Amino acid sequence: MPHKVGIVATGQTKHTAKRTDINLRELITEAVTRALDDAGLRMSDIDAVMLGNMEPFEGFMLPELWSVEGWGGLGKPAMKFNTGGTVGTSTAIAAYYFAASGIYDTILAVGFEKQSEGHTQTAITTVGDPLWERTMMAGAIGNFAVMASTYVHESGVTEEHAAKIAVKSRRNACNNEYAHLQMPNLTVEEVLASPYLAYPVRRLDFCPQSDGACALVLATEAKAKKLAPQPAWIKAVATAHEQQYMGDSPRRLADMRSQRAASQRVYKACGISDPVRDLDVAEIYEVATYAELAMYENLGFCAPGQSGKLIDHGVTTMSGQLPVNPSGGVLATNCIGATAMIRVAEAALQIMGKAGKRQVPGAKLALATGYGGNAWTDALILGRE
Amino acid sequence: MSESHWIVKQKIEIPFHYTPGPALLRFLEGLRDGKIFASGVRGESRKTVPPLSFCGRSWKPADDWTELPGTGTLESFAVVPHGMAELPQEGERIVFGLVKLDGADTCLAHLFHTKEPGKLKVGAKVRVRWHAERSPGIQAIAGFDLL
Amino acid sequence: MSEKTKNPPAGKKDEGLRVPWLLSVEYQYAAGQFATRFFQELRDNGRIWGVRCPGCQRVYIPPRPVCGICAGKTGEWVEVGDEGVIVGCTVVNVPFIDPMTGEQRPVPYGFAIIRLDGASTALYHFLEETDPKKLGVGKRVKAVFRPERKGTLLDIKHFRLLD
Repeated sequence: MPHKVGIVATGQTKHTAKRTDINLRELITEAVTRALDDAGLRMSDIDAVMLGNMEPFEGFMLPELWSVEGWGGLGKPAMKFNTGGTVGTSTAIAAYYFAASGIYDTILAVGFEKQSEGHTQTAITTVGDPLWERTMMAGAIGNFAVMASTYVHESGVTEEHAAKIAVKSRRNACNNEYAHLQMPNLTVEEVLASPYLAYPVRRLDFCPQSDGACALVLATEAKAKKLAPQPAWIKAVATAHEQQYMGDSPRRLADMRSQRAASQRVYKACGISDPVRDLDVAEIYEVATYAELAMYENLGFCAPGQSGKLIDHGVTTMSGQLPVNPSGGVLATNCIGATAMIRVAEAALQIMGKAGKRQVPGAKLALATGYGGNAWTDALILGRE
Repeated sequence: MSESHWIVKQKIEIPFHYTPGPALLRFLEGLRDGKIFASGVRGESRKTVPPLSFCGRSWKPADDWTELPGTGTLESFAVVPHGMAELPQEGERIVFGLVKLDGADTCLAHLFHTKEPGKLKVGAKVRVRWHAERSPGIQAIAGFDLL
Repeated sequence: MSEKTKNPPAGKKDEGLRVPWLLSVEYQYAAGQFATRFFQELRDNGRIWGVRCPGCQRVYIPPRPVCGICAGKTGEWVEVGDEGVIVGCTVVNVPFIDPMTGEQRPVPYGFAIIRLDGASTALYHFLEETDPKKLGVGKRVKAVFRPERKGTLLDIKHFRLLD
């Protein structure tokens, strides 16, 4: 049986387009220091460190080597993870595995990215197979646009539905002091007036590029109870992968086989049969508005073709039955190596009752997801019990 | 490329711009002015160059600054047989070396040219040689001369 | 060393000192037996081939030795059509640096996931049309071959709308 593991502390930087005041190492230190302070721990109390970053965005090979003084890793057991958009959840799940196995008691997990130093869409284009896909690919924007066109065709969601998601995200972000894009007055009309990056995806349908870092402290049961009055217990984790080529699952965004598989696995482990009823909050990895709509279906929040109705009826807004991304989500902040970990951190803050102005009252059960490489999904369920 | 073993050549080019952060900025601007700065934690004797803004060992800010004299010891080196970044001048060889500057506890890595690679040895005393025209960057140091 | 490598552009003035660096690396990718045969057929005969999985009967393009669903060997080569259907498409307007050139890729351009007649999976390729109003999921397209073919996917110049 795995040991019980809880998240006891989180730390985030104020995510923004360009942190030209500090370097990558110093950015990491900022998040790590905040997480240690939140836990009331010193670096010497940490047994092991798990790191998450996507190297092509900064052009560093082994950024963990260059930045080691920034995350206190000298002489400590450490591992680095590099799994695309899922990197932050993969890193958190790896930390969970090490704690749940009983190998380490107190683990620091860190995700970081400084998008401003490189060229995000250029680097993402190298995800494509050099013989088959790289020549056509236009970063994540192009891939999501192609997938969104299929989803729009099959589900009947409209530009207005997508725009409502864009508005929800950037308005929610105003309650999150760490979020990058905070737009309190954004309207559906403004979203619909923004230019197409790649049809049907408009500028305000897509996430920003952010500089930011996120850190978590995970601890096994006895330690966790000492370190936090209400730890966010990790109740289930899952990872699932897709086939390699974009066209292997032509209905990629509509189907999202990996997301269905990962979410069904964690739901089953927690006895969740109706996620909208059973979950209190979800922090999901939605790179584009259309992705969030498709994910409503693939995460079981609604029946096929009903995602537009979900946002029309406000089910996923802060006052709805299942608030999705009170933090503003990826549409408000995307520092890729940190982004999926921010989903976990924000879900943990909700469970710990420390989410401030974005707190969902009485949240007891939360879902966090990661999505990467246009293919992979990670899912975690956090809870009070 | 043979017909049975198809090889596809492709070049990848991505430009980057790195922010040095406050400590490295002071270091790089010091190099422009012909000065080498090291930093350490107040109350601790350890000094690092290039400097850090934060010490990962004691988990404290490293804001105690020292200017180093520009002399040091060659700790290790390799004579590079072929031109890497730049072709050397006639008779010159490129040397990649680690120099522990006097007053520092870490080594500075640098690439420089020499006409007498045979005279280099571990433990040799060296002195920094500056380029006459300098911008904020490690290239402000032309190399290290044997003392 | 190219001029670009010698003198990468400096950072913007208002951002303080930013240190420029150009990552420029040449790779040689081995295509493997299946892609080699695919590209040679494309070059020499202008024909498009996939492979069938004997388990699930899927016809894979790109052709590959193993079916990811059945985890079994594929092997039977099947010719597919040079016409197919759009299953997802876009027109890219956003400018970005093409990693294969280090320069901005010309926009706008159209690309799509296209399921060729007789194939189970679909292929990324360029579209001739760049007006999103004229494109759409479900529309039929036909490959336009280049007169001189070299054995790459770009021996097909792009796909042209049929309707």
